[in-house]
Amino acid sequence: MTVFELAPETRLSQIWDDLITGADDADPLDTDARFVANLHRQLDMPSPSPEIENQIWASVMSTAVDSLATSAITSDSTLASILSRLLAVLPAIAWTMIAGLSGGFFAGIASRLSMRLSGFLTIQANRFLHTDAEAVVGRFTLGGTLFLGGLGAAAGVLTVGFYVLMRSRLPWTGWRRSLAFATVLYLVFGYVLMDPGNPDYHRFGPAWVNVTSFSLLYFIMGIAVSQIYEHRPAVFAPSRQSTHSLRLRIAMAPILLAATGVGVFFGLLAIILGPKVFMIPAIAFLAWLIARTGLHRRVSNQSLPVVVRQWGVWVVPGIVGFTLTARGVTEILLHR
Amino acid sequence: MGTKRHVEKLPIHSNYDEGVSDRELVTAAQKALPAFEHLYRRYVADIYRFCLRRLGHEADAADATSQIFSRALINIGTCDPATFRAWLYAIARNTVHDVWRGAKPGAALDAAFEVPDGAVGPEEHAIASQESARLREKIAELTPDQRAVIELRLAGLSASEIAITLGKSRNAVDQAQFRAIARLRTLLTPPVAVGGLQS
Repeated sequence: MTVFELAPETRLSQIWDDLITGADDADPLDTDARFVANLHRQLDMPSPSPEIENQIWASVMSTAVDSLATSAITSDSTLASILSRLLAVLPAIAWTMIAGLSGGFFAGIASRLSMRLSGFLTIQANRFLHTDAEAVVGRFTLGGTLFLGGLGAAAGVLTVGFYVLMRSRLPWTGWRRSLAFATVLYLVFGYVLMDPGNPDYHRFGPAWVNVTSFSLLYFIMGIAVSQIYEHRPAVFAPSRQSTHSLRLRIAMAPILLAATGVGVFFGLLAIILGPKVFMIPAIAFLAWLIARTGLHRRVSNQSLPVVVRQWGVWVVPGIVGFTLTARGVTEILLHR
Repeated sequence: MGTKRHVEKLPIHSNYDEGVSDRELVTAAQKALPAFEHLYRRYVADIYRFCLRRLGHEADAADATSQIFSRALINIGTCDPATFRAWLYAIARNTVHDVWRGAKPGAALDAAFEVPDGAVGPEEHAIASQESARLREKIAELTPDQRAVIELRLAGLSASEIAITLGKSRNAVDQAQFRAIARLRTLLTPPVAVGGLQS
């Protein structure tokens, strides 16, 4: 199989898409095409009669008119329409922020364990020295721990935003998808923490222990944020179909707005405290602009391998991030 | 090479070639709700068949179809016009699940709805029904993800639309679909008799 031959899964998908749209590219002797066509023939269902269609429509109108009479959705009120749309998406936005804040806070607290380990392994002479971040070795305060939790929460807001963008492109489901995301997070953004210019990696404990423990933070962050995001309660779903839920969401609006506001605040905090993390999104945005402005369109989309079509815009920023991360880890470990 | 033969057209009833796109109809319906009826007329048959295939009874299918379009109409303002079909089928899946949970005890998921068809004789109809029932029985043995992909494929959705409907990646849909077909082929292949010729 050459690089440009389709994987069996992709081939089957294309065959089925062609059969559904009635394209003439399907090979009548292809076993997959024949199997799929037989499947459709065997399981075809009768259409509703015109009488049933009209009865259903009458029922739809009767139900919808009752619901819409108490709803803010009306074609004559722009403000009500805007508020209604906001109310529809606010729960999902609020939950996204909650996932980022809570998952990030958890990872921030976990970083305290990493520091505890480093402090435990440091030599006696290093105790009570100041670290690169002006903290005191061996001294753990509640304020310092909460500060790290807050820092983690800020990073968590950015992390969940990255997850929302990546989610549809990640393989698998459940825990495996979270692990895949955490891996990508580390490989692309690991350079933020893996800073060879930070002397603390060598001053406190073996360098490889510090690199390992701080690398694990990315996996803790990625898995925590994505898992919380995926386990969204039904009340936070973006679209609801009953007036009961509409009333509930109106009652929850202050809490949802507060959660969103806190998330936005921490997100802005992350921008101020960690500007170098935005180098990768900046490169990705540039790649996206190039793809959108026509340079990409000069190459036939169908002639490119599937992996390029689906991942093309992400490759360059990914390579840059991975190179920086690998460089950072290597320099820390090889530094004497 | 000779004249190119074509695969027999699938019994897909969706109106792909209508002049007005879904995007235009949804945009119109979001501004003036009476325009929603055009979307209803376009999709009622597909949605009804989807419900009938899942629920097996005409009354349940009609009830579910009504609920689906009611919910779609109430929430049309939140729909992205570019992905209406995927959005509608997401509502359909959730609604059918709710209706199924409230179904009468003992109702079988793979019960076929048999409609008398005067175009074929009783014997041919019985054979077709048996094969259909057997196929439905085997589909019920797939994993939930695989079954969901097959059902949405039978409803006429593309792989990309299924990915949006199920909230999965396109890669995950392709994999589930491939495994489902492989599994169905295995389940539908009769076992080779002991001492018989190898296939």
